[in-house]
Amino acid sequence: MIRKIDSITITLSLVILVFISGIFYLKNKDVKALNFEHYQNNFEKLKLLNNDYNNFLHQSLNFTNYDFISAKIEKFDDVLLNMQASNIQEEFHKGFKNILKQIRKNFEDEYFLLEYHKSLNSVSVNSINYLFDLRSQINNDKSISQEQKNTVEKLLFSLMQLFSGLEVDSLKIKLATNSIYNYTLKNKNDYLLYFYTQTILLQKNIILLNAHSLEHENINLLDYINEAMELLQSSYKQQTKVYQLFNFLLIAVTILLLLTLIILHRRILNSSHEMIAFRYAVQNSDNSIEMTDTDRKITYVNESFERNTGYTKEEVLGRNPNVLNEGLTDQSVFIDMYKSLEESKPWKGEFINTRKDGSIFYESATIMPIIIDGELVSYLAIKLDITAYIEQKEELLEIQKELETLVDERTIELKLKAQKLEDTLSNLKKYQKQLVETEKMSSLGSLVSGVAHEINTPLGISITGSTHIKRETQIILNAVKDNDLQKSDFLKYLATVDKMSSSMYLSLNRAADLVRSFKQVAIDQHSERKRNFNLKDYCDEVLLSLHSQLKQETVLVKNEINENININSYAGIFSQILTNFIMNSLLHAFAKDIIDAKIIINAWIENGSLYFIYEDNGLGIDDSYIKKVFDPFFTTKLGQGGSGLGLNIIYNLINHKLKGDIYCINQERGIKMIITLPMNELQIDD
Amino acid sequence: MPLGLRMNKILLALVYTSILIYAKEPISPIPTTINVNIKKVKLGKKLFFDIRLSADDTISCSSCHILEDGGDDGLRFSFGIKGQEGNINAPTVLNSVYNFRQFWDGRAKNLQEQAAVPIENPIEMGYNFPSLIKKLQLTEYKTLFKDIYNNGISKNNITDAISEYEKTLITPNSDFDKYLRGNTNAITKNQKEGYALFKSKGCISCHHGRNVGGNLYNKFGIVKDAKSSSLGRYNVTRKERDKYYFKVPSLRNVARTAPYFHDGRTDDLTEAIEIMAQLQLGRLISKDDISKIEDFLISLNAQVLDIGKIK
Repeated sequence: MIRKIDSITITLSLVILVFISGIFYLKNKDVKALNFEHYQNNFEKLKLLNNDYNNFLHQSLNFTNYDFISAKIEKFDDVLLNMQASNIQEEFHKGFKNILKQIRKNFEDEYFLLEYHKSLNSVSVNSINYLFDLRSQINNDKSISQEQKNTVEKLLFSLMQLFSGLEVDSLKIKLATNSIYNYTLKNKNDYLLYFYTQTILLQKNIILLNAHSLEHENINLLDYINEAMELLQSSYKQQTKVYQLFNFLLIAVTILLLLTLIILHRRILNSSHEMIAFRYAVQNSDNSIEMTDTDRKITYVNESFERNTGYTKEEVLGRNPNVLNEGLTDQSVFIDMYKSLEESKPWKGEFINTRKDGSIFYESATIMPIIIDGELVSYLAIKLDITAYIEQKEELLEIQKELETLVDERTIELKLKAQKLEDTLSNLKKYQKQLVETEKMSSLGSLVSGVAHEINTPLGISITGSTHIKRETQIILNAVKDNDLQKSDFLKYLATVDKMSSSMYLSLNRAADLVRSFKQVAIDQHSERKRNFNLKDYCDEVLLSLHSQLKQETVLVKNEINENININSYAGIFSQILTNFIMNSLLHAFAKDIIDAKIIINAWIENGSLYFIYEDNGLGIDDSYIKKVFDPFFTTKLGQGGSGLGLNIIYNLINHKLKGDIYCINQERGIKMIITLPMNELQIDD
Repeated sequence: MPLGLRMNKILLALVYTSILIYAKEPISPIPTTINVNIKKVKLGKKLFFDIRLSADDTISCSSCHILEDGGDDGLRFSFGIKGQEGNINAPTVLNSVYNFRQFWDGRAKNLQEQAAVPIENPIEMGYNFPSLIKKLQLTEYKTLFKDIYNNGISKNNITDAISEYEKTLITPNSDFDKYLRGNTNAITKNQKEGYALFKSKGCISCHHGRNVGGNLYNKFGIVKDAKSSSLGRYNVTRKERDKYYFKVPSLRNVARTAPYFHDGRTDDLTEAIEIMAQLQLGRLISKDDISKIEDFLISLNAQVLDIGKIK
């Protein structure tokens, strides 16, 4: 704000300065213009006077009142003196000194000539006057001969011609003059004698007057006056140009300055709007706002201040803000504040102040040194009455204390509870273990009952068959003993035995298979050792062993396993997994004839796991079954050769032996088996 | 230009001349008003009559320019300090303001220039301005000058004051001026005839204007040698043709300013007119005509403007 006022002041001063200098300059110009006119008039006067002199010098034989001529000479002298005393040299041109000098010199020459002319003109006017006077007297004088009268007439005429500058035969005049002179000598005539005298005088004067004319031609007074006028005009023109340029510059500068003023004015308007807004904000702020000068005398307080402190503006203006301090605020606060302010840094802190009525209140204050153009001009304090806050804070502290005790108590309780929970948890874990074991037992139980059931049937058939054979054989043996054996009976018997034995064979074979399978579950897991093998190659070998079945079913198997997967694991498990999957596909997925039956095997290592993927494009698994595929004895082909243990065994092998996981998902067509195996279990030892 | 036309021109010129001579009055009356600084006039008057302006406190301006006696001293040549006699007739101070130049030889351009000369002339007041100023500083003049002039007493201020006073030494309201102003009975029939002769005989060609003279130089002895001892204007210009040229004197109050001419060769006005007719005009003028002219010249007499009235 101060800066803007300053620049406005400067600009305004400049405008005034330019204006004043412009006025002075233009006034000077006016003076010059006036002087120019004055000088011009003077030269004009000189010219006119010179013209009058010329007229006078050329008007011979006229009676002239010399008062006028003298007045004109005096006038010329006065004007010229005036010009010579003037500042025309300084104002217009140095050349005037010389020109005026020349005018003076020529004027003096002309003055002399004028004086001579005056004298001679008077005499000549008289001479002619008298000559004409005498002529009439001569003409009336009868004593004078006519011839002489004629001579007088002719002489007078010649003199007139001479007077007017015509070529006249001087000899003729001389002869006529001599003739008159001679006549007077003889005839003593006063008229003629006077006529003669005047003739001689007039001739002499005419010659002198003509000589004056010649002399006058050598006086260049007019030339110099004209020269002076031209010089005056040209130098005035020159100066006028300068003035015009100056005028233009003056106008340009004035316009520029005015524009600057307008811009500044607009800025100030904006600022003042801002100021009004700020002032309004400050005035109506809930915060107490006070300003002090650099001596920390209060220069401004807002309404909040008045409300909060109980002091009116008038009471505090000019006083130190510590009027509110009755020593309740810790001295260190002030020391800290002064330190900050000395360094021209804003300060934040709290005061405990006293109102006019003596009541105490707390204030949170921010005090800012206001620095404009690097100079500290005032301090601004923004203060908030935090008495309520402080009280609230104290209340809160109390509540906090209470809470803390409460929390401590509760913590102890919780600790006890946690202990109990911990105990419960370990119990639960124990139970869980027991439960798992139980589960395992129950699983084993169901397995055993399943196995028993499965084996029981063929064994039952075999027992029934063997019993039947024993009974039939007893019948035959009896018949043999009685010799009552008939060929037809024996053939019937043989057919029955054959039929029974094959049935028993089948049943026993089946039981044997079941036992073998069951044994495998238990034994295979322990029998095999880990070895290094290439997964792809190994799978190829397995596929080869299944070649005849696959060929029979015309299933296309694609082994897309990455060639570089070498692992250290139980190869038999992988063989079992793959064989199981393929057999399942052949048995279930491709049970109905499926065109372009296809199996894709893939495996890769990713994120520290081996992914082993098996998929076919067969019938898939019914959604209701898919959750159960890994359950033991779950089969849809019971009685058709499926034991319901295949996938369960695989599940267990993967989970327990290989520490991996297996998922089965239905695809759009067929199923997908996803096996993930942790690589740290498969790592090849170097 | 054909000869006929030229002749016409000459004849026209002659006609014009006659018309000029007779149609318009060549003499104009003395103005009845003057424009002066009255303070200066009073101071000038005091100085004019003050003998302290001369080296030996014997001569004042008024010693030779006696206002009651036609503005001159009635002597052929005036006397300066220590009884020294001058060599030229003192002209009248009256109406001198209307002269185109001052002194017989016109060496002073105006009254102020003139006023300094007699003071410094060794055979007139025989003083010098430094001494005069020193002397006047010790007198009442110191304050008198200071009242008017910032720079007090100086040569310029002394002559300025004197010349300012001399501007008031005019003689308006002569009978002839009254006549010129329209009072046809102001002059006698004789005087009127004298005036006509004055014009027709050619006197007017030199003696005309406000001062009836005093506005040109002319030779003393145009037609005949005047046997003048003074060379006149030649002394100023040193030009051959200025020999015997003098300022034509004013004829105002001429009847009271004898003796006449620069050398005061005659006391008698009639004789002076005769001398003029012979030397200047080379003309025969009858006694009767001369007496009429003289009569006319008397009508130019008038009393000096009473400065007392101005007070």
